[in-house]
Amino acid sequence: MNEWAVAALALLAGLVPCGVVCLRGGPVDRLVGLELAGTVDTLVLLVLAQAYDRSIYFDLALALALLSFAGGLVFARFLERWI
Amino acid sequence: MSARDLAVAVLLVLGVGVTLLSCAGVLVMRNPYDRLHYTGPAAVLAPVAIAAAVVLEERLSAAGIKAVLVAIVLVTTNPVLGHATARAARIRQFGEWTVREEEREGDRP
Amino acid sequence: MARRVGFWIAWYVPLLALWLAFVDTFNPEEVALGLVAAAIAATAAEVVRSQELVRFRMDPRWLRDVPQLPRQVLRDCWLLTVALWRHCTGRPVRGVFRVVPFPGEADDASSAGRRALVTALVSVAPNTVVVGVEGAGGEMLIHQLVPEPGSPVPPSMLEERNE
Repeated sequence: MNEWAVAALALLAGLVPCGVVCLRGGPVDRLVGLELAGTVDTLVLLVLAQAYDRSIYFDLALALALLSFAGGLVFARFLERWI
Repeated sequence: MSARDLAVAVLLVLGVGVTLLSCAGVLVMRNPYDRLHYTGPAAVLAPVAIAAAVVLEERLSAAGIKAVLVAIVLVTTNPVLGHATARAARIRQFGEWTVREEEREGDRP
Repeated sequence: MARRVGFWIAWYVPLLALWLAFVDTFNPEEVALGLVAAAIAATAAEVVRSQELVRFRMDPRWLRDVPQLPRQVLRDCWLLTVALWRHCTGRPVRGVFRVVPFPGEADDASSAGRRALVTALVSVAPNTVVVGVEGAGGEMLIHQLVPEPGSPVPPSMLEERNE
């Protein structure tokens, strides 16, 4: 287990507070929790790419970063007006 | 442990530490505006630190370039997302986001 | 027409470079695929841009204070760390809405570009989030977790673009 794998494990622990916030609180609080979870997952993929020496994970991280952004904007728009 | 390995370890610790601090902040703060601020360090400082660690290990190979690209995407999209979320929260709270009279007179929570 | 070709090329070259960076090879098949994919994407981008759904015009002088951003980010991260510590040790922290001046001007491409850029730049540092800019009223509504005196707007952003 190299230092990158340890870092990935530590980052994964950060998903627990994000999950708690997503389960409790108002709609916008949950959106904030979701956005942070997306960021944490992107960083986990970045670190795992180095841990397992799999360059494809970098592409996954980039795709996740872009899609999280787009998804967050869509949710924010919906929360403004319709939900 | 070489100087480079030490630098990589320090950057990893910084990136992970900042991210965990952000997660703790989002958990303990009490309203969505305050929680929103804590998404900043995880999306701005942590990706830069982790991408720097990757570049130190891999130099500017494909892996290094991709890590830098991911960091750039996170750093540039987080402010926009934060703005959109704050605006949505404000519109839900007050019906519109515009400045209220009492806010012109002084800082208001 | 020359303008459209110029924008198309401005999209095409970075997209092709991005493709080659991702596939990490100069294999002829991959290069050919990249040439085609970048052409499709550049065409799509130019078609959207030419409809002028949003119009932005930027002034490079507005970016003069960008080198200050990393220091501001580090400083704000420290402020948030201290705020979190305070919050957890029985001294609750609560952010505030603030109104700061931001000179308003006409509703044109340059003003729109300036409002968009200032929103993005001011929101990078974690302690401040821009909620909105009232162009007509000359005001910017921000939320700060740790209230700080003065305006977070970079001085270079207060200059209007010379037409």
